[in-house]
Amino acid sequence: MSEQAGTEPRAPVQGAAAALEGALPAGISSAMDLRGHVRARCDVVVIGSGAGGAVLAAGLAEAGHSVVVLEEGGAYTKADFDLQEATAYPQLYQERGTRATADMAVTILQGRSVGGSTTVNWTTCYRTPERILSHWRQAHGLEFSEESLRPHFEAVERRLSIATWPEQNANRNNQTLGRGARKLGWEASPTRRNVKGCANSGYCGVGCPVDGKQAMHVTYLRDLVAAGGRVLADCRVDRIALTPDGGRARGVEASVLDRASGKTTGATLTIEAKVVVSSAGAIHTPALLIRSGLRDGPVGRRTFLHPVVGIGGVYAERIDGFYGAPQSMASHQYIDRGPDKMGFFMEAVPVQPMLIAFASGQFGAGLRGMMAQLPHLSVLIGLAVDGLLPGDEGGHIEVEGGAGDGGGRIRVHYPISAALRDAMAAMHEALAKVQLAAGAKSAFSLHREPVQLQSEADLPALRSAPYGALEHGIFSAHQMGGAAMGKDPARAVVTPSLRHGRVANLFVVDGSVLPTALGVNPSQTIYGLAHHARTAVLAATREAG
Amino acid sequence: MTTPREAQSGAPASASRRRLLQVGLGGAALLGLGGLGFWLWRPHSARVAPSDLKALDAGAWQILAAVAACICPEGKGFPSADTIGVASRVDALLAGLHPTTVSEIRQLLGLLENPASGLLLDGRIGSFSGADSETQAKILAGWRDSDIAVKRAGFKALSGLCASVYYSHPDVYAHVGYPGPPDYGNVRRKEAGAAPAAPAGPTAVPAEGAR
Repeated sequence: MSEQAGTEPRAPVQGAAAALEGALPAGISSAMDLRGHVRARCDVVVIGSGAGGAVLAAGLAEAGHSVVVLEEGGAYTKADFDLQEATAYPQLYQERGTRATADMAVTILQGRSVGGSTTVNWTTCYRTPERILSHWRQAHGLEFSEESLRPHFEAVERRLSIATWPEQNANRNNQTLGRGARKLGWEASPTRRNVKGCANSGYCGVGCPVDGKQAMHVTYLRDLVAAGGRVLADCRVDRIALTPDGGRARGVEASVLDRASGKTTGATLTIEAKVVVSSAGAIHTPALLIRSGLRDGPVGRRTFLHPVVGIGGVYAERIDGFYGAPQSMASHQYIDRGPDKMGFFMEAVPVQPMLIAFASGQFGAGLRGMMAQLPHLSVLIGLAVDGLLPGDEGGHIEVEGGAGDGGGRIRVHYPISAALRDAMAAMHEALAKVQLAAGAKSAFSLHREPVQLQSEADLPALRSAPYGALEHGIFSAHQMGGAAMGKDPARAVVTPSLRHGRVANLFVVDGSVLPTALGVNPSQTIYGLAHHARTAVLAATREAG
Repeated sequence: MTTPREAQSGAPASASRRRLLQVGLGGAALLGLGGLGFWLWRPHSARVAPSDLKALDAGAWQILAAVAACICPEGKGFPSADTIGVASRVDALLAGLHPTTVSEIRQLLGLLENPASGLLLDGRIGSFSGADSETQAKILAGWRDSDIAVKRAGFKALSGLCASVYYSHPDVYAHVGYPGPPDYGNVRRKEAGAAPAAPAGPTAVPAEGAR
């Protein structure tokens, strides 16, 4: 890469094919076939192929620009998905499915393949709620409204076939949530899902076997490829290359990864681009900015996780929660718990053996006894809405080993605040009530020593149980923040157009721009914001051209 | 790694314990003790490590195999962790992780095994792998409930790896009443014995039903 030092990008080349001819293969391909040092040039290089990168990249390619999307994970199709958890988590998730906060308190599920987390998410889609947009207007100087975002949401809803999943199709695990909540007089509604021809298999989390889920690799990335764009898998961006004055991005420098070992093959790439977009997600985008020396603003800070806790229910009848759309009912009864309280919402999970065995935190005969009841188990979760309370700064991202090399380990630090502990206790109680109201013979927590409940009379034991790091299972499937958007450069990394505050031809288009958690599953907000960002990125590409 | 914010957030009664917990897996000097023990001690194990280990060496593999047998014990018809090959499967998984993480796992296994750290931290005599299964279970429960961050986090890491690998193996499915994933007929690559019949559970919903 030293041969690149100090050189300026050459004059722009018209058209995708001309810019890239001879350098990179067309369509979606693996970088593992590349040898030595490869140089390529394009209009826009997008780092990451998930909810943000894919929606943005497709729009840019359709507007006639040459676009290269780089993805550190592998490229897969439905034929690769054997629906075994033992295959899927190492293959399709970050850190082979073992990602956690540095103190091991929060298990982090995050996708890592072409399509990003959309390849493995549970399909739940919501528009950004007005109460969040209103908070952003008041506390973060953002001017988004339901009306201003509507065209973007409508566009992605059409492309991704986002629609309400009929309640009669809910599996019995989700039915327990609906039934229990309503019996308590609480709100519960079917979710909307991005599916078309869904087989109701229950395997969204391990790669959809029928392409029913309208994940990025079967939708926007296909649009991208149809318009001449390229996706290069197994390719980790080590840093964003900047001009000597640091005012503009020149492109990216990347390493090819061997898919099996996860180690670098020795092949490297330099891609020069008019515009660089980081869509690497709320953990890797801040890490990449830090590695690139872009420490402007609160980069890597205010990381939010929608921290999750769970409660199991044991039913006399079969639940078979391993089958059927994993997440199709939700209750937002406690989304607002008052001005000083962290709110939460409740959903369901796939009750598949690896996920449940891990989540239980038990071992030995106790774990075996719980697992032997698997077909009769319901598992429901509460997700805490972090980042809204004054002083709730969430967590932060650290890159070990300093800047430059892409090989430094990324660490997520997430202290458990008093407000979150209170929310976790409240989530446990609400979920236990739902399970019992829905007819569970018993309910149990995921504490080190599970709290067992036969009736609401046992709730005091749950209330007096300890809450906090490594006291019980805590999970995150929603990573947000770390490169927040906003108007004030001291408090934001990117502008409301998602343009970097200092580097004019650098954009961040992923969940890291969210200034707070959302109180709903974040995928559609990211799709919508990426659609919104198309205009500004197109303008920047033309400006640079 | 403890920020002022974290320290303030603990309830006063348990503040000192919470501070301990916040040290975290990677930041604990205790791990160094595990590394030391690892070099000085050879596990007491009749298990023979495979020759094609990818991340661990034979000693660490033997400790891990003892941990796996304790996390996922044989009995009530369930196969043993050795039969499932839990330690070797965890070894293969670890090979894909960051080298620093692998090094921490090795040190953790050393800390668990080392009689010196066992005496110091758990008040026990002898190595982990040399203990009977009842004692091993007590040691692991002691780690799970410990006030020392690295032990509690270490229990979570080791037990989580073993339980995940064991319960995701098709040979265990029947024992937990899981019929396994249905076969959609489009799978290229499938482990032997991992293709159960289509489930009796919910079946296809017409595409238009989703509208």
